[in-house]
Amino acid sequence: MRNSKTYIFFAAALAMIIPVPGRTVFAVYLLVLFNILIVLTTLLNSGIKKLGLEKHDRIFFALEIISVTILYKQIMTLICPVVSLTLSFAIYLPAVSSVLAVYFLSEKGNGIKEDLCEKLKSSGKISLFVFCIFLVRDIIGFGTLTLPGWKKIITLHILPSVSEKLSLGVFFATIPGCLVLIAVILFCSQIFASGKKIEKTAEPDSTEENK
Amino acid sequence: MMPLMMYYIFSSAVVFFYGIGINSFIAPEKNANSLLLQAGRSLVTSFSSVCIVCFISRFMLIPLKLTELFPLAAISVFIGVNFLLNFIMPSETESDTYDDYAVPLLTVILSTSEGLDIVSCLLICTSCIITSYLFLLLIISYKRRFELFSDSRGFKLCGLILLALAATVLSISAWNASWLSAGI
Repeated sequence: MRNSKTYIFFAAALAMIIPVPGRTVFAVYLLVLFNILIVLTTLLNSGIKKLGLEKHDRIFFALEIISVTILYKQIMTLICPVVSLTLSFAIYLPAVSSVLAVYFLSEKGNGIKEDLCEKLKSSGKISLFVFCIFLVRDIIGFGTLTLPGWKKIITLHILPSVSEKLSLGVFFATIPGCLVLIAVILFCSQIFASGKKIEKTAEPDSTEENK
Repeated sequence: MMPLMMYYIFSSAVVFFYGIGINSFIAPEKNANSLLLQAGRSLVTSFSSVCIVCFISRFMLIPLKLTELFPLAAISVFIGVNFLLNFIMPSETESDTYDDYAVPLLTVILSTSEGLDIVSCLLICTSCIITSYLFLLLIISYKRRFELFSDSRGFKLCGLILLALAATVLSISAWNASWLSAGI
């Protein structure tokens, strides 16, 4: 289970979803940082290998992740101070947890190109999943779609009735609601994946009953 | 003192509300001895790191108005302390240190960021480490309970644990019923 793709997927996704408010705009900023860090960490790993410093790779990775995140946070403060203020130090949590999870637990390619492709595939899938979760939380929870803008957050009111009349949707914007949502997605994907298998096993039983 | 610790252990548990150590919900089970050893190592590393970071922060970063750089100071100190501890007490599982590394490091950043003075920083740090390992125990108990009645063809254990965690968070924050009010 330790090396399974499911582990990487959920470990990285949950570390990004839980500490951040359920608005799409935060997901956009967070996922940009996540993908930048994945690329830089892969390149750094290649450099570490060439220099023969594999024994201390965690030290270099941790320093690189924190330094890049500090720089990114300063740039984010210039672009959109509201997002920077809201995320505050919470930006360091997904940066460290998710990047380390993807890095140490996914398969490692031999060459730099293979390694980069492998990591970007994993990060791309995780990014898509996380973005969809944030999108659902934003729309169902608040009835809005929030997008990044220059010095502000652009808010589009897609379903005004959700926030005014129906309050239960807000549950999905909260942490337990989010966990329930992910569990439901997991169950649905499992049912969808095992649907064919069930059909195949059911067919011989029905023929035996007819006899 | 106690309200602060209770707040960070239960009301604002780092695992559920900050996501620190949430990754371990799907990690393989460890035995009691290695878990205790890991908890002890984490506590010593983060405790000593917090002391040094608080000192650096108060006497260097705040006077120089470089508080934005405190995570860098935290990581540098943490690496130093971790290296020293590995030298004194080598880790048994060298390749299995992803969670061991991320949780204390993030705890140091969290406690130095949220604490007002060195005492509160240390209390927050201790509470965070306690919560992380209480969470591990909770996960082990959930896993064992679900394994009793689930089979390989049934729902995945991971999904069931997520639902159980959702119920736990709801029970911890039962007082927060803001999502029941319309217009928020």
